[in-house]
Amino acid sequence: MTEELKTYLLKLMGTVEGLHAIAITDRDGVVIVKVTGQMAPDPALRPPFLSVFGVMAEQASKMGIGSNKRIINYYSTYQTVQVNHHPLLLHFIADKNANTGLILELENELADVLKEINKVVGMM
Amino acid sequence: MERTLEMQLEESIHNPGITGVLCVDNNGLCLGAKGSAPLKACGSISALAGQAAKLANPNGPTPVICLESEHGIVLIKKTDKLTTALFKSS
Amino acid sequence: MAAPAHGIDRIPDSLGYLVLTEDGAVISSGGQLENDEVTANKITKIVHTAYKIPVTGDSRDTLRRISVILDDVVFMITVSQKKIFVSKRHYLPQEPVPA
Repeated sequence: MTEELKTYLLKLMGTVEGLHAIAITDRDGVVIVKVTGQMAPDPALRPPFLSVFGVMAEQASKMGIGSNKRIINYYSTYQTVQVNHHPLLLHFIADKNANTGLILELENELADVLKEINKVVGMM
Repeated sequence: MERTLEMQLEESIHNPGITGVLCVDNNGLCLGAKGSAPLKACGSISALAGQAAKLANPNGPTPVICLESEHGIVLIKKTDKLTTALFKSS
Repeated sequence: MAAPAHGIDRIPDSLGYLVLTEDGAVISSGGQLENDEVTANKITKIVHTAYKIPVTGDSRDTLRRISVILDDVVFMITVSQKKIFVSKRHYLPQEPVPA
């Protein structure tokens, strides 16, 4: 199943120009599945980076405007789009010029995949 | 701040046959919408405009993209920092 | 012509045509677009993106035709039987009639 999933994620990654990596992790940032392109920045796919989003979302949920769903960060060369899809977290790492809206649309296309992974995670 | 844009959107939706208007920035994020415009498709709309622009002469005007189905038409045009989509019923 | 062009090669005042598979491989081509794989790839991407945009609120009302209007030419694109058909033609806009 993992191979199939990776092929699918790679296909999705190819539809967005400048998207370098997709990672699906649990809420502590432990990687469940990830796919990367050649241009993917290494540090952005290591646990320190991936685990920080869980904390960020938790803090951002305390602002009194409901729970936090997505955090988009723009850096000088990259952008990251991270989505809180309880109990899973979705991470996209892309070029700063990549189409953010298109990356956000991938969330809908990943809905079925996430449902499947959720089932597996729920069993553990 | 966005009052002029809101006014322009309001003006265009009052044209006959127009069911929705959508303005998207170059990051594929929605800047404004009126009527029944699919907000979920913002990213695709700006991506489509960018892909179509690659068919055109880079120094010439940007293309107009027209999507037609049985009951509707979408017209998409990219300008410098903005992509505008007009939804029409036919 | 060995590959089937489904009559798209007989369109009057056409500047060129392409018949592609869903993933962008050229099945048949002619005119200005003969063996133009670069354009074929660009158009395949356009088609895949365009299908994600709902034209009307009704999801059964699917996309029928895509036209990309450049300065004086127009690319008419349609999909049928899992093939992408492209025709490049001169664009002659009609004079707008004031209502």
